[in-house]
Amino acid sequence: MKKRLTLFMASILLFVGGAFAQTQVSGTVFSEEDQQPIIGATVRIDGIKVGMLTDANGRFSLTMPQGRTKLKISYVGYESVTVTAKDGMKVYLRQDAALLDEVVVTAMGMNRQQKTLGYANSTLKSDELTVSKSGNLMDALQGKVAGVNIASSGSAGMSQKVLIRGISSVSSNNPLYIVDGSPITNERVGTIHFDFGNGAGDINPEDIESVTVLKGASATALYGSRAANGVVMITTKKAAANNKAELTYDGSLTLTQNLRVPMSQNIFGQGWGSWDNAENGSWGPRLDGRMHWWGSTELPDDVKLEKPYSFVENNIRNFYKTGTEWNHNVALRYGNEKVGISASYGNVSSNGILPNDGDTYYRNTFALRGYANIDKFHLDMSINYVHKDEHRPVDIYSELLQGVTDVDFSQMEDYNDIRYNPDNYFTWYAYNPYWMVDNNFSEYSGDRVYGRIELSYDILKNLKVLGRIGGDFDNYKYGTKQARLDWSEGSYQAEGNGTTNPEPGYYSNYGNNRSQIDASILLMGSQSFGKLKADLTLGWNMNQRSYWQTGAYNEALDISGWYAFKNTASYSVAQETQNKRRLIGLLGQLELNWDDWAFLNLSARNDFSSTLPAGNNSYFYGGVNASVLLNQAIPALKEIKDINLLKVRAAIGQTGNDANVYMTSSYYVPWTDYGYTYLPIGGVSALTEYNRLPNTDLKPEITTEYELGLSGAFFGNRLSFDFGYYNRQTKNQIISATLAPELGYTSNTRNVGKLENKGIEAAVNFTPIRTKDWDWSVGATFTKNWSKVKELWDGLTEYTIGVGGYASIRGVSYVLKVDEPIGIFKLPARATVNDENSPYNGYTIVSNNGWPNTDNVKYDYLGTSQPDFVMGFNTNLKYKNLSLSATGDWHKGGLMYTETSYITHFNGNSTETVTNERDAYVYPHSVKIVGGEYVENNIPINAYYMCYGQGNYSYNPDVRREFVVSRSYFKLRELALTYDFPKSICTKLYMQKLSLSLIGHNLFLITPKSQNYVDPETSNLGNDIDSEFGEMNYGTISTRSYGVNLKVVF
Amino acid sequence: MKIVKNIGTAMLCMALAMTTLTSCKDSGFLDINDNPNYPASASAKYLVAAAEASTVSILGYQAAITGNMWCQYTTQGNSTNQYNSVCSYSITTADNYPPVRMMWEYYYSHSLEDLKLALADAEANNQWNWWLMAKVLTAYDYMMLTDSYGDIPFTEALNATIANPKFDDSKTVVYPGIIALLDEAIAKGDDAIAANATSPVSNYDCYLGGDMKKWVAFAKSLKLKAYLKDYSANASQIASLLAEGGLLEEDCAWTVWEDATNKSNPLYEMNIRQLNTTENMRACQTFLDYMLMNNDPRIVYIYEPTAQAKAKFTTEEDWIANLNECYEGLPYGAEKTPDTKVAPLTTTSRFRQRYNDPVYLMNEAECELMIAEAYARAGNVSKAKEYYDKAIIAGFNRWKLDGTAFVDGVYKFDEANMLKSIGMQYWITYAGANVYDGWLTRNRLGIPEIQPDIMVREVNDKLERGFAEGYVPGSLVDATASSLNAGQYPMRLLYPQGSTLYNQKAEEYIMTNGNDMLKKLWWQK
Repeated sequence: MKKRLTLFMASILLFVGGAFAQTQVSGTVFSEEDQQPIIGATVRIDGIKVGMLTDANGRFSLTMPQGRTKLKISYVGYESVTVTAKDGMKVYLRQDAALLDEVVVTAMGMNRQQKTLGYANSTLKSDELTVSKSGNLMDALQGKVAGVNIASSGSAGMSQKVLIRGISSVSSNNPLYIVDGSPITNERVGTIHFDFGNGAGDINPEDIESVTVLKGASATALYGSRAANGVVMITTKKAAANNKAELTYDGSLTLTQNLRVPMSQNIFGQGWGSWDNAENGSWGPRLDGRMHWWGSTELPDDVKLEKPYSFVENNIRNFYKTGTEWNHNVALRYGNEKVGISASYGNVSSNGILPNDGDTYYRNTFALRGYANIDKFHLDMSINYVHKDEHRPVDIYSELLQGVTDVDFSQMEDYNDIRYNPDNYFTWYAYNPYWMVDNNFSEYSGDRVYGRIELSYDILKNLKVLGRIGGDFDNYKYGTKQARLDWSEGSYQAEGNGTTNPEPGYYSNYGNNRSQIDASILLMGSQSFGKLKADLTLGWNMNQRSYWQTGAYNEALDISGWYAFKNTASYSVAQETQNKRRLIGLLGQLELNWDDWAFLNLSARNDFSSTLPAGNNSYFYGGVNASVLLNQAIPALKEIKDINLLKVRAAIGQTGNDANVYMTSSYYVPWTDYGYTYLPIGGVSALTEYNRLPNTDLKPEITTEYELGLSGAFFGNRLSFDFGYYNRQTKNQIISATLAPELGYTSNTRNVGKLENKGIEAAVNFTPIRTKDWDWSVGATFTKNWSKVKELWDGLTEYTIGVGGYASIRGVSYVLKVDEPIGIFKLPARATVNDENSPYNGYTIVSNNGWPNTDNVKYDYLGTSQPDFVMGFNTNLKYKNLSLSATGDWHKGGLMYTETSYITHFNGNSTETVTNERDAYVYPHSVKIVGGEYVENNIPINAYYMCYGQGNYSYNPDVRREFVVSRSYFKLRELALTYDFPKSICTKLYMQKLSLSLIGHNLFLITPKSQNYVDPETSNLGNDIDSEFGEMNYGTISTRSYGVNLKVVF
Repeated sequence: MKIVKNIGTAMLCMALAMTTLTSCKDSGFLDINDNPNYPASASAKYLVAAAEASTVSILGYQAAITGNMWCQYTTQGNSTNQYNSVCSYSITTADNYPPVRMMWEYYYSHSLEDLKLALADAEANNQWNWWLMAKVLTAYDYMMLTDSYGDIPFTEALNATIANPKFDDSKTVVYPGIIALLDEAIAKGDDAIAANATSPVSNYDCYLGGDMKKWVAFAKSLKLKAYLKDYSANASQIASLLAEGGLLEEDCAWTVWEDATNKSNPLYEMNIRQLNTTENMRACQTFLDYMLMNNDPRIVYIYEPTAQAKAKFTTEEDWIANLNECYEGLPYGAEKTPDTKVAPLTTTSRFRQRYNDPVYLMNEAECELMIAEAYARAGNVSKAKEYYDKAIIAGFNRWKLDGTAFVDGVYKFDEANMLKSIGMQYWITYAGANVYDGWLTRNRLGIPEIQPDIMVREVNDKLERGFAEGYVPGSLVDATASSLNAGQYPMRLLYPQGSTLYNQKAEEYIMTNGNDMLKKLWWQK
């Protein structure tokens, strides 16, 4: 393989040539691992600063001056060697397994050596990012980076949640995404009912050279206000300074299947207390396999339905089909020292697991990148264009959950069949899901352009000025279509609904325009003073973000099949919203390097934000970090050959974060969107004060963090580890603090409280076997985060985090409680006897109906949503040209709410609903109240009423407890078997490289036995703190995929 | 020194950039944080309209469901589950029906807050007509709150600088406060009329058509309603109020609905237009059987005939003529008994709803009954009878029916037991009107009575007429699936979490006083 790592920076800093002496020496530099020539390796004559870079064939040629015999040969990612020069020599370099000399991109797009950094960061290379061809960048990071928690709902194109070092803010926890030095937008386009992905999902993973995750405040301080939650730095593939024209094709076909469907009880069948043909629940009699009529009562005699009253295996699973996803990528690259260009095209065509093309995602990405070095000017630019089309069902999963254990969905595929059509669908309380797929859906279509231009000028050899302007312009529209459904007079459904009033249908369409402009000017200089090397950077940054949306919805279609705003007998509602924000920052950084073994970095930034109160919108913060290479600093260690690296690091930093737009002044909104009364009515319109109390002395949110770390590499880098500890305190959180309504307002944007996240992050890599033919490595990451709410405000001990705009879902709320972990579940306590003198002290108090009563004052706290720990595992086994790699991750602990549990309890499909085989019982350890006295409870819960007691929380509040389940899981993320065709075959085919892989993604999922409802990663509550609450059952279910990938380089 | 020179140049560039920045700041580059989507101010006209809308959006929806169920006019249908928890009294501190959360939130943070701003704006501009409306509505809102919850924040409410407003005693602080608000309003009557002559409110008032005289009358009737909470303490004030006259004797209701999404009667909108089934609210045997017993034709406007009957009888006249055949109800509660196989949906009556059903703050019959009650308590039998009879006529008139036959018929005033007669008529007259007031009034008078451990009918698992032995027609019964014990009945709403979590005074209050919906308020029987 030809090494094509960018050595642009290194090459221009190097003196080339120098011809004043005798012996001519030429040779070739190879990589020891794959015996391939290395391009761009540095070959220096030892002792003097003369040398060159190897060419495209790994060759060099030098003239050795008198008295010099040694050559020092080095290459990034490889161990340097010093050898005696000999004409025709072959030099083999050994790969530095832990890549500790690696150049990584740090804040503001500056390249630094990994070993010099005093803070935690993790870098993944392109090979690691595209193992499973998942089409989504952040998917590829799952399980591979300590301290980063990534959850995706599975379907191609849907949004990803990324949490770095836990939840540190109540308002926003999304990291900042930077592509080649400029920020991009990462907004999620979606609601509880649909999800069209988030901004980072538009990046084609095949275009990416590397991803670096900066976790701590010290690392991100320079990025300012939006970097408080960490930064994901993405470096795209560029042409190298010595790239011959190279054409790459990478294509894959993957098949997708549903991964997790809720497990259903298989003992009881359709009914609600007793058998009922119209019910959508399984509270009926025991399944006995006898033939029985079912379905609509209005069918002609010759098509009346009959079936055995028995359990249908895999009912929901069989509704889904196998999806296909094609992924094609073509890239062309060419470069020399003056100019370089790379162009790529990527296409993802995904037809998901729903029948009838109900779930599709098409993404076309074009990228054009190039550089030019003209004298002292360096121009670097990239431009990306993304076009996306998506089609998603509306609430289909929820519809599938409204089934019955003995009625087979798949036989009702033909919804034009009189037996299964909308008029005759068997239950009155749900729709034929096949009809739903075709008639209720949302669509998205968008065009996005993002990129940046960077121009730098070398004022001096080691002083340059750089200007960069980045832009991100996203234009998209989305909308929903729900069919108008007219019921036939006298039909089964019309009888059941009690009306022939049609389902009025729905149509909405919204045009959106989201843009971001980011400009920076940086002045960068470096100077050496003996053993001390200093780098100084000063900079200015301006960021503007704006959003504009206009659209409308029509809640009652007049004519069936016509989707338009004009198709209404009443009115369509037009909506419009816009916002804009600006930020200006001044920044500076000083980096000191003592003798290449001690490093100190100081950074500072001052921001001015438009969203803070005018005249008081400036804030300053910064960071310090230091690292020492012990193996260089301590002479005794220097001697030990088996220690390749031993580094200690420490950092302390702060980041500030501004507010959301329009929090500092009050305004009045029309009386619409309140309940079911939208003015104007009868010509009367109204304005109500917006219920948020404005805040005129809002301060920025400040995160302070310190971290300590130790990393090492041993035995020729065959064993390496990285261990880090961090402690992050976020204070003056800007939150929408709930106010008691009696104040006249329900919220107030204000600075409150203090949240603490402490944690450890560890990564270990070990290569037990490394021979000429065999190579086996294993790695693991471990993350444990302790979070704590240190204080709220005004002595308040609890704050309810709203979920999708609601304070609680089915009585379960998600709260911050002082001295408890961040984000805990809370529900009303069971009423119990609270009287030490009573013989029944502690007994549950039941209602008249025999079920436990609720206490209206006390609550139970069930625990946090946050995991106890997260571990990632990966292994790579290589034999000659064949390699096998696998990645998995294990999340232990944490809780989540699941609406799937709610609905399957409600309709009697959950396995929990057959507790005690639905036989009558008296609630244990309970009392009833007779004449104001506690009396031992003897009210049996009637078996007939189990549909209430075991299913319905409004009868038996305890059922709620079943909605909060364990979030623990293990997932096999990636499995890939790759064969690289031998060079001899490639050459015959005029190829540089040919490889074929079998790939698998999310192949299996293990959860605790009691959690047989959902994939814990599924959520449709966005990708911030809301989503930590759990899942709301409207989304799609997660998928596994497997397929084949072909990669060719010409 | 070339280096120094170059660094100098670069620094100069930076300085220049920063100057640009500063000048940008001065020219408002960062001064873009006023919301461009909405106005920054609003006048009394629009604020009062919002207050009327926010009141009606609760009264006409969640409060309407609650009143209909708890007065046992309607019950949860036996094929669906929508209102189970309200029927079975499984109430939490965050509930929507009954409006535990929403009434507190909408009345304080929308209605009362907007009224506060409207009062300030109207006062500044001498718009005494808007001012009067805002003042009366403020009193109305507070009375609704204190009647629903008991002690509430009053003296320290609506002041964002007091983060934890204290709870004021309903009897000794809130009620006198409400009376004072109404007196202030009544005193400004002439100014309001004058202001309205120059700049009329007219149709911008959805309740009383912008008629200031009617607003004064409404204020007086509200005063009477307040005084009746404790007749003996207020006997003289009531006497002078009656002597002075000018009480409201007509409906105060929002009637201008449109047959369009979210612009019609809120309960119709939710329960009929937007919910996926219209089968939830059905006739309840408690009220239906009582009305059938009295052969009261108002049944026709409260319930729909059964689907079966509709096939046979098509006009309202037919229905009135065949009440017993046309209407059928379910026992009160949330159990699916009788189940749909024994009692299919076609055999029971749905609650009758129209898009333009008015939402009442006060209905005419109720106005008359309050006067009748006042006279009855004062021992003035003839005046009590006069207004009682007017109330009955008004109750029938609501649907253009003639109630004369009933005045001397089944509803004949019982002079020996005046309050019982009046109490039963309150119950009847609130049906199809301000049902939530029906629940409040039942708890004030203890009429209708609650009979524990008995059902309305002898046979309960299928639809067979015939009162249970020992059942007194017109008494409320326990819910079939009640989470309360026999004979227990909700007396108030729970304090919502939104207050008890965020107002420390509220938390202290419930820690001391509990948060129990069985706890009687000071004016309850």
